[in-house]
Parts: sequence; C-alpha cells; structure tokens
Amino acid sequence: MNPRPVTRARFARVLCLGALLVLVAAALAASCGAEHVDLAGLVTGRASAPERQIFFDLRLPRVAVAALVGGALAVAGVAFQALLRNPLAEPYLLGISGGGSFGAVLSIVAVGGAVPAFAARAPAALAGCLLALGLVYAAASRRGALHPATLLLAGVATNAFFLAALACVQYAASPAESQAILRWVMGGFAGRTGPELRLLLVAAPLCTLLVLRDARRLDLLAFGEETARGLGVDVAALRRRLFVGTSVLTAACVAVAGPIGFVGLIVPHAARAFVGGGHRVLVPAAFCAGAAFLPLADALARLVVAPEELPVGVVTAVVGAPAFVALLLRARVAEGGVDA
Amino acid sequence: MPDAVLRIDGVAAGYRGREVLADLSLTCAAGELLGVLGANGCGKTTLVRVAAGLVRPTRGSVAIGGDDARRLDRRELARRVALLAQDGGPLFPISALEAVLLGRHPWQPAFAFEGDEDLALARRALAEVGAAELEERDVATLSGGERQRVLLARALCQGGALLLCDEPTSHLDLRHQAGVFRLLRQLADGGRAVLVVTHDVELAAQACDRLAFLRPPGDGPALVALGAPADVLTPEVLRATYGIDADVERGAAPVVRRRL
Ligand SMILES: Nc1ncnc2c1ncn2[C@@H]1O[C@H](COP(=O)(O)OP(=O)(O)OP(=O)(O)O)[C@@H](O)[C@H]1O
Ligand SMILES: [Mg+2]
Repeated sequence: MNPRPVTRARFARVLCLGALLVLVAAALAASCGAEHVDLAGLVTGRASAPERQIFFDLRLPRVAVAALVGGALAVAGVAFQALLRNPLAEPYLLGISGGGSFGAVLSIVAVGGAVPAFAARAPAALAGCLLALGLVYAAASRRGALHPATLLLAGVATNAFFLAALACVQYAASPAESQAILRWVMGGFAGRTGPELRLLLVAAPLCTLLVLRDARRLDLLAFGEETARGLGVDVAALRRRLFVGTSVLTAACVAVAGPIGFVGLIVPHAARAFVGGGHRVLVPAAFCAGAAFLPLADALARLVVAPEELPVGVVTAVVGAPAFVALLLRARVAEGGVDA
Repeated sequence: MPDAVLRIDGVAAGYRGREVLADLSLTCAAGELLGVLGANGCGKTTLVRVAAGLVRPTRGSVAIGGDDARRLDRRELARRVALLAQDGGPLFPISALEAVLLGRHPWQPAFAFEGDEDLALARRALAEVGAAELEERDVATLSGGERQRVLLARALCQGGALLLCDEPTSHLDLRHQAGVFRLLRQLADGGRAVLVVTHDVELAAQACDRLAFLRPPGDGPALVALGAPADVLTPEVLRATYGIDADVERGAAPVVRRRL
C-alpha cells in the first residue's frame, strides 16, 4: 500500500484524472444510442442538424443527469458507510428510497397510469423521502445523538414499511398504472432533461462539498467515536449533519431518476480500491467514478434492446453485482484471506 | 509551584445515573509520569475520558492547563490533550502514515492538505515508537502490537501538554512493553504530563513518578492509594485494589509475586 498522504499535488492529480474519466465516459455515452452520433462530425461541424439536435437537446442533458446522479449516489454511499460504520451501507438502506418511491407511486396513481411530469412527480417523491427521513431521525435520535445501530434499524424498518405500502398501492392499481409503477421503481433516465438537471446541478455539488468539508472527520470517525472526539470532532453534530445532508442528496436522486440500486454500494468500494480509504481523496474520486459509471450504464440500457430501453437499475445490478463480488474477492486475496 | 497540567478535584462521574468514580482528586504535573492501576471495570477508562473532557463529571471539576475543561471547546481540548483510546482499528484501508497524520487534525482547518512539516512530524512520531518501517502498511493488516504503536505515534503527533494513554502496552511483547514505558518516561522528562493506564504493575512502578490505585465502584472513594511507587506498592494496596494475595519485593525494579 502507498503511504498516500493527502498533499495538494495528490488531490489535484486525483481531481484531474477523475475529470478526465468523466469526460471520456460522457462523450462515449452521449455518442451511442438508437441513433448513432458521430462525435468527430460534431467537433468539425460536419454533423447534420438532426444529429446535433439528438446530441445537444436529448443525449447531453440525459448524460449530465445520469452523471450527477451517479456521482451523488457514490458520495452518499461513502458518507453512509462512514456514518453507520458499516462497509455494506448504501444510500437506500435508511428508507429514503422507500419513502421516495411511495410518494412517486402515489403521484403515478393520481394521474391514472402515465408517469407524470417532473413537476408533479418530483415534489411527491421528495415529500416521501423527507417523510421517511423525518421518521428515521425521530426514531433514532436520543437527545440529539444518532446512534449508528439504532439508525440502521430504524432505517430498515422505515424502508420495509414504505415498500409494503407501495406494494399495497400497486396491488390495487390498474394494469397500466402497475406497468408505470414498475418502470419507475426500476429507475431510469428516459426523458430526464432540463428541470431534473437544474435540481441536481444545485443539490449534487452542494452536498458533495459538505461531505468533503467533513472528510477528515470521517477518517477519524472510521477509527472509532472515542478517537474522533479525542481529536476534537463533535461526533453528534457530525452524524446529524451527514445523515440529513446525504439523505437530502439521496432524495434528490430518487426524485429525479427513481431508486437506482448498487451504484451507492459498489462505486465507493471500487474507488477505495484505487485511492485508499482517506476521505479527502475518496470523496472526489467516488464522485467521479459514479459520474462516469452511471452514464455508461445508461448508454448500455439504451443499446441492449434498442430502440426499446432497459431500466438502468437492471444494468447497474447486472454489471454491478459480479463486479462487486470480484472486487471483494480481490480485496480478500490482497489481505491474504484475512478479514479485517 | 506551577499549576498542574491536569487537576481533577472532587470528581464524581459515571454513566446514566450509575456512579463509577466517586470523590476522586488527583493531579498530573508537567514532567510527571502518572500510572493509573485498577481492576477491570473499576473506571480507569472513565477517568481517562473525564481527563480528556469526553465525559462530564457529575460533581467536582477538571482543569487542564489551568482552565476549567467545561469552558474549553473540543478543538482547544484536543490541542491540549492527546488521547490514545482503547477503541480499535479503522474501518477502511488506511496507511499507517495517514493514520498518524490524523493527529494533526486539531491544528489545521477542517479541510487541509498535508504539508512538509506535517509529514516530518508524523514520520518523527513513527520513528519514536519504532514503527518507521510500518509507514506504508495498511493499519488493518498490522499486528495488534504494531497497530498500538502506530496509534501511540498518532497521539505523539497530536502534541499537547497532556498525554493520556489507555493501556498502551496491552498487545505488546515484552521488549515493546518496556520500550513504550521508556518512551513515556522520556516524554515526561521532556516536559509533558503523561497519564498511563496499565495492568503492568511492575513496569509502572519502575517508570512512573507516582501510581494511583483505583477501587471498584460502589465501595466509597475511588482512590485506594496515590503516591510514589515505593510508598504505595504494598500487599495491602494490591489486596484492596485487585482482591489478590501478593508479596512485593522492593527495589529499583520491584517484583510482585502473586499466589494462586
Ligand atoms: N459507555 C458506557 N455506558 C455505560 N456504562 C459504561 C460505559 N463505559 C463503561 N461503563 C461501565 O463503567 C464501569 C467502568 O468502566 P471503565 O471502562 O472505566 O473500566 P476500566 O477500568 O477501564 O476497565 P478495563 O480494565 O477493563 O479497561 C464498568 O462497569 C463499565 O461497564
Ligand atoms: Mg479500560
């Protein structure tokens, strides 16, 4: 292992490499789909008007939305894993996605089957997320302190509750509604453009910066509460801040794209395998890795059964699950088979 | 006489209404190595938490560097008191050097990059505990003793006038146990106030200026005895502290002979 102190030069290097990775992935993702778009043609100006339109009005916003969601979910995953002191934690563990899905599904049923416009769906989903957040917070907080184990249990219970409620609604829904619900809970980026992009452009960088500001405190928290407090960290305030901040970030992602699984779990681990566990570098690295991964997964979702689309959640799980297992096996081998 | 770096005065402390430490008063001055001994669960870690300002006493007061601990914010406390806690290793892969560098946290803005000075301090601290060659190792893969030395290096890197060590030798081999006590002695001789919790009565008696023996909770005042090793290391004190029968052989390197 490299000693990996976080010098200014190393931070800059990681940022540049990460940005490069995101750009390459975005260009690749934007060029493929049912209609092929020639990237070189766009650069030299030889591209036709329809090509331009597809690229700039449809693909690029969609890629940007996918990138921001991917980056945000990865950062939320990093934060949740440190907050809950559990490497298997992910942003959806604490009921945010359950609440959000329930809200969105209600809005789907309310308009009788079509997936409603963002203006109607997003507030419903956001409201569901925030309701779940409030419930978990109220259940897990003792005199302002959030205990990781209690938080986990409260979150899992809340999630189960909302998913059960969602199942009830779906059971009573018409076939058309049921189809729309199914589509939504698998997550996807079809038709996500302007308003979604604006919401994420605010939420994703803001929350990521908040987590980044606490990066070294997260390093300390990973060593244990006592150690962190002994080095001057207000652990209770840190946990509150992280829980609320990353939950809001997750809520924005769910409202935009539905619950897209696995990104928030595997991307942090993948990033850790490359840059180590120090959060000052891990947070930006995870953001970039997520922002590169999800547009590519979305492109794959568009390509596999073109001109139809797979839900992107299917792709992230099909690609993600084996990748995750491979990563874990690699880590085990590197550690000589000993669990740390 | 200069004020003690750590002054605990008439303190009672515990958890959720259960009192662990009762009526405890002790001091630790600059240049002093104070050993704290006692049975499992008697409140040694609690004492360390009180001294670090992590547990609020229900009675009495704690002063650090002459200021009431209640009036110091966390960051200022962390600059004055370095704590080697009993809790374990990290959750995620992190190199020994990074782990030691975390000791610089109280001295830097929340988000800061490591400069040459920080790196020099961290490497010196690693060298002081004889762990320079571990710098690149993942802390999670270190042996218990190696990890303990790395974490001690972090406490050294943290600086501060008061160093609190909660069982720094519990995982160490005989050579490194002696090494840590020698290092703590040097740190005290260099002007720090050092409080060390340990179960190693013999090494503590050799290295420490004073020993404090704690009583299990519920039997009255927390202190059984407090004083120079030659005065307090007696069969009576050992019986009151641990409930054991033992002979004590006095000398420069006292020996405690336990009977089964
Ligand atoms: N966070 C806590 N909440 C409730 N009780 C606690 C807590 N921490 C410690 N205790 C209790 O307080 C008493 C003193 O604990 P402490 O950790 O101070 O013991 P110790 O002297 O350090 O023991 P050891 O030698 O085993 O480290 C014990 O009975 C313990 O069970
Ligand atoms: Mg203890």
